[in-house]
Amino acid sequence: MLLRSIRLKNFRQYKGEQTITFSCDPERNVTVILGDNTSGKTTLVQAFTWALYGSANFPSADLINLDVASEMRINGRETVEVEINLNHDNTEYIISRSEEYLCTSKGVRRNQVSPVRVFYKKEDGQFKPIEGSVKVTSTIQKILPKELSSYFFFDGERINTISSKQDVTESVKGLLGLTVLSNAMNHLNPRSSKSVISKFQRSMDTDSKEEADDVLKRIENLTYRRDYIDKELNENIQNQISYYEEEIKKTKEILRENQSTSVLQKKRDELERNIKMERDALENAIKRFLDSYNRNPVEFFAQPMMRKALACLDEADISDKGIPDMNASAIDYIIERGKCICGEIIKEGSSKYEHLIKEKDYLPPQFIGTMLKTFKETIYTYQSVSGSYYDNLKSSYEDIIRCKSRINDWEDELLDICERIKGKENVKKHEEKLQDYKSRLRDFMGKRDSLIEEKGALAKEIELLQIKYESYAIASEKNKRIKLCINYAKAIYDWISETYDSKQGEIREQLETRVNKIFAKMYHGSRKVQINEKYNVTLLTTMGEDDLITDESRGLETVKNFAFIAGLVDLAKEKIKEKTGDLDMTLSVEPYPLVMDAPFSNADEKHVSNISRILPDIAEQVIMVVMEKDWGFAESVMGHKVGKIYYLDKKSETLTYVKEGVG
Amino acid sequence: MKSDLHHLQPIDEEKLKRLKLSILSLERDNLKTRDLSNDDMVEKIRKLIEEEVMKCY
Repeated sequence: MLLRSIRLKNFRQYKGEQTITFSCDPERNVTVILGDNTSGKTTLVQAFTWALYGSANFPSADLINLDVASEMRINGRETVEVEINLNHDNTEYIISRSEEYLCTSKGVRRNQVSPVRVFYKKEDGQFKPIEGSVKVTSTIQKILPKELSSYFFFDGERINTISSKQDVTESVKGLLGLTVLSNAMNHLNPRSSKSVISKFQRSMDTDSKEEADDVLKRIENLTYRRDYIDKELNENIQNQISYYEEEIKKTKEILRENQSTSVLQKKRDELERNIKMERDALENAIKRFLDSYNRNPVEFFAQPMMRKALACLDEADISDKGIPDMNASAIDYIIERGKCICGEIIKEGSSKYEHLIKEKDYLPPQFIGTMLKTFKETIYTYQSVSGSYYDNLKSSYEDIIRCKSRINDWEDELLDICERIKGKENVKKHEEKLQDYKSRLRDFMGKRDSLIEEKGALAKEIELLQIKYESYAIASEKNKRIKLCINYAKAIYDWISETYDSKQGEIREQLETRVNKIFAKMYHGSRKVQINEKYNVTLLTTMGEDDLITDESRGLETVKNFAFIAGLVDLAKEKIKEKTGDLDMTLSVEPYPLVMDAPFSNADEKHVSNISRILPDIAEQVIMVVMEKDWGFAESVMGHKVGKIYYLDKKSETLTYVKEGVG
Repeated sequence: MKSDLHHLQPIDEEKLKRLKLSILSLERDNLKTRDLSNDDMVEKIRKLIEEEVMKCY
């Protein structure tokens, strides 16, 4: 595809009709459009995607030039239009999209959106419209499939995400011709109930019709289940597994980066736990202290007085002749009663009476030796009790001091750690997330394994049923012919599958080699490019014998992505030749132009120069909308390739004129 | 019944080559134009195979 011109009418800041003609000269294949910030550079690139696909990314949905809108009168109508003139596959096309705006009392509103129109040039030089919206859309798709357009119409921001997008695989396969093979595989696939092979199988006549129908029905059911499993595995489970693998990788990266914080956060959590336990221990120690204190305080605090009493009693006559805790009054009472506590009758003058009278001599108040003895024994008991009382108090007190000391130390340490991790990532949250992701990943892997197992069992059963079904069907001549068709279809399917598998790896390797070669010319350092099976691009730095992934600046990322796109364009241009025996056929697509908005915004002078030297040699046509300051670096190496140059003359925020310069 | 299987004609490599080329060309064209739906493509490929196989059957 070669872009010949673009005509804008009242499109955003381009008032009236303004046309840019692009250079189609193979020797001078670069068109440069220079403009300052907000002069309409991005609008210009978006005009292409709007005209082709009806999609544009502007803050306002209304595309009409504001000056034109403000000059409209009630019931007045104005049109916004973009028309692209291009060559594709030796045919000249005009693609035009327009919208009509109407001025009412409520303001200027979009009134009518006309369908996109496509005209092609006939041999007599006249343009003829393509009729029917399906054909119009399919013609545009034929010229440049929408899903591939982002590789050829892009801005400086988007180029920095292009080689790390998740959905890059299908687009790259489309660009490099692999989609043709995968579509053919899908249409022939014997495992799909709607495929060519299944259709042939269903068209077979069977001798035992009823029985064969049952077998076929069973095959269809099993095939349906297997297709469902395939879909589930490829679209859902695999996506989930990839997603969680990616999340685990990212979370691990965050945890690696915050390893020291993690250690501190763990220490903080441990200290908080310890402090809580120690506070409980302190509370228990205080309780024990109070219990001990309240148990026998008198015995303890009376010790000095008791010691003094004992010293006084050292000289006293202490005898144990008397009955402890008895006094003379008790004897007098017994005598007066005339009967002893043992039941003996006490009569005055009897030996028992005399004995009792004598006993009074050893009892208080005449004699206190027994009391003193009892008193001393009580003191000794108190002394022994007060010894453990003190020990208990001392032990509890020491526990209290120890607990308080530990709590103080740990609180100081905690304060210090909290200061150090203030404002850092909550690593615990990421650790919990990591565990969650791992558990989900395990679940999905388990599910995947069981589905794969079920799929294997289904495949075996289907195969057996197919043999059975064929045995019913093969008898008739018609069936023989159908069976022969099936054999051809299967042979083609097997060949395409093998080709697809080998091509896929081969193309990725070719692309990697190509991108590396271009990258080496663009980048003035010593890194290399690696392309994975999803066509995501990573930069590697060689350290000794190892290749390491290192950080990328935005500038470096821009260079990497330019190399990726240039490699893709270069490889696609070459066309992949597929040998079908003696015949060759090409699987790839047309060469395409590169239309770029502010492509160098993140690259430095040297890289701008390197990229500019390479792009015109690789792409069929280069159209750059660029700021003058960036163009200054590119001009010295690209200037001789420029066939057309334009300036965006910004008159106001709502008005820009395109002016042609001297190329 | 099984023996009938062995009486099928062998695959003709020339026919197979032509079929491969026709199917890939058809896929390539439809990838660009999107004129035909999946079901249409399946039917078209089926007919291609049938016609090619039935030549000089």
